[in-house]
Amino acid sequence: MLSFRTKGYNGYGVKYSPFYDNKLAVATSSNYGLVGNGRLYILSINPDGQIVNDVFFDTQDGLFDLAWSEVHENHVATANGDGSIKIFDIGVSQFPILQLKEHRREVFSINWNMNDKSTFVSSSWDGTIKLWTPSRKQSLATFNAVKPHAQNNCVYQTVFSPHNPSMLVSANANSHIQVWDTRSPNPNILDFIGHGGAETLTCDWNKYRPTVIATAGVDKNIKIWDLRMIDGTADFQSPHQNKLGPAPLNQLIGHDFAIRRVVWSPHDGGDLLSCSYDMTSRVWKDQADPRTRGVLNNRFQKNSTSKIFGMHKEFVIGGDYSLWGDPGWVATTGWDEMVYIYDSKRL
Amino acid sequence: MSLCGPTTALNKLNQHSQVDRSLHQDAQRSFTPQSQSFKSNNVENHQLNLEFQNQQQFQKSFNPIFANAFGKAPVQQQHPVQQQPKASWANDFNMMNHQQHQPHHQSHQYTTNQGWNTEFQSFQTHQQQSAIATPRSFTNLTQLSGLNMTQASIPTTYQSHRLTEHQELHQQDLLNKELESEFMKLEQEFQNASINEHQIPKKVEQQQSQSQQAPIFKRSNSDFANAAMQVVNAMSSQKSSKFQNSKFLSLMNLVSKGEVELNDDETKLIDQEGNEINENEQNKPHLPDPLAGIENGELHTPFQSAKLAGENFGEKYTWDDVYDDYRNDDDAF
Repeated sequence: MLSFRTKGYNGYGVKYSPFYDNKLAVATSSNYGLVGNGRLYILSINPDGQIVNDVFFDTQDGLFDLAWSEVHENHVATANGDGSIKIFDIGVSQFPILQLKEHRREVFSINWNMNDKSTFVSSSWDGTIKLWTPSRKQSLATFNAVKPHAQNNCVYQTVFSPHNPSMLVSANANSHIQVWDTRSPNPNILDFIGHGGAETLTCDWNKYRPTVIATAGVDKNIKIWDLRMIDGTADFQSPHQNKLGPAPLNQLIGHDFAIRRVVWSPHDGGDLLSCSYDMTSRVWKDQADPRTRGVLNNRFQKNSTSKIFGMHKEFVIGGDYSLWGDPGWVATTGWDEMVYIYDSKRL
Repeated sequence: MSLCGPTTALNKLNQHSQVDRSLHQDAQRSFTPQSQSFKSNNVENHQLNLEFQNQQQFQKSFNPIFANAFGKAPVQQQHPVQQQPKASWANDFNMMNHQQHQPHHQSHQYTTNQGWNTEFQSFQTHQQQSAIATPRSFTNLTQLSGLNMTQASIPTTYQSHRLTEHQELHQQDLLNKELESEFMKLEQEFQNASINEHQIPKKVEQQQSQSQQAPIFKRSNSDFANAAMQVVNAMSSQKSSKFQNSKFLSLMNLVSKGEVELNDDETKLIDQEGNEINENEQNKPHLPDPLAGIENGELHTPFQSAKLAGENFGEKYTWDDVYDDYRNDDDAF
């Protein structure tokens, strides 16, 4: 296990570089992201196992998420508390090379498109999802995930499909999970309530199964969905709508508090990393039989195993799987100002 | 009403008194103190009356929708006509002229500086302000406690008036229509008015731009403390040492007690003496320095320093320990 302390700054997001096997970026905020500055750390893992801080960038407001560029090995985009998106070049010190400002409230997630590598997506507490390209200062498209003046309209995370360059999935504070097709004139192609009214905080697209996503939130459950099994017409007034909502393929139960991040493994379609407010991160094995309908009729059977990483002393907020080397290496960060890198197979 | 010719104050009073105000008076009558015998109620009634009168005055000057939309109506609009001092016809003429201009000033703000849509949005923004104004701190805090977010983030006063989605939509439609008709009226008045744009004081525009720049979201320390309290309560069920030692939860505890709060410009967390919390945290060492008190140059090898540090903490450090540490390093978790 390797560790690095982001002294004075509480971790919100950590991501492995898609270009270098030893580089990570960590998005942090002071004062737990409640008020104050942010800092982007670029870390390198030396051959002797030491983690060193190559460079850091201070920002006026807290940082909530980051994404490495898929086209330029030195570029990192950050989601800022002041509603802006900043792109930093790790070779250019101090200041961002690009600032994009359209969101009216905190930008809470940012994700680079793995297929069409020229675009990235951001989601914000203003209830919108915006599609961007670094070559334009204005967004390419804006999607209203919720009614503009709804009470609870945060979009906590939006992730591109790794299988389709125009598909997105978003997790909303109003418990809705939405699938978007950016090419469509009516882009919201699927909309369903996933967590029984509790806030959905995170979502991720399975890297091996194109129709499978995982979501998690305040109800402490991770749910794995097959989008083909969801009648997601967003018509909740319909009397035919099942009151229980759609059934997930599998439910992973174990965290004691809300779950802030789920990430599917890039090496195995059944492995999933979760980070939670219960101060643990867990690595799950989804063992649901794809030929059955999972937790059909709410008769839940234990279709998963989990391993717990408990070194964090505060809430675990961000995590990522390493794309490189031996499968199973994971980085997590949390409000204890620590970044831990460990082999999830050895938990 | 003709703007020309002499008009006396008496004339105006006459006109004013001839207006049919039966409905208005009925409403006022119903608010006259009825329970004179109950002395305890008098204070309340008096207050109610005052509020009602203020409201009446306010409504008289402008439609309440606009009053809501723009906070307080401009002070000039609240001058009732009858409060004008006895004046010459010239004064009176000026005053009337002024009155004519007022809607223009007001409507200029609506239509020239901003589009109809923008204005409507700003109206909606104000209407929904309590709902949208969920400071980051609260949103962050409420995720973790398994609480419904609205419980902590929305002031209770608003919560009690929450509407169903359908009602909300219906209300929006009604407001939409009402607003549209009001704007039509205003636009008509606007077209009739023969005021040149250059006469509009720049101050109004400045105020407008200032109000646009003003932050929409204002966090208050009491709401912050309430949200922190909910987090503390939600987490209190956890008895594990991690949660007992959590810095964040102890901070939330202090916030809920009011010992730590946001500063005025909401950029720092400060204690009661106004010192920034973060600075204090950073000045404290993360762990006690085991080599404190050892002079520079006194240590030559890492083993020697480990041995000294161990002695400082009452431990003996041997090569076996070093070997054990090395062997078990990966199994630390």
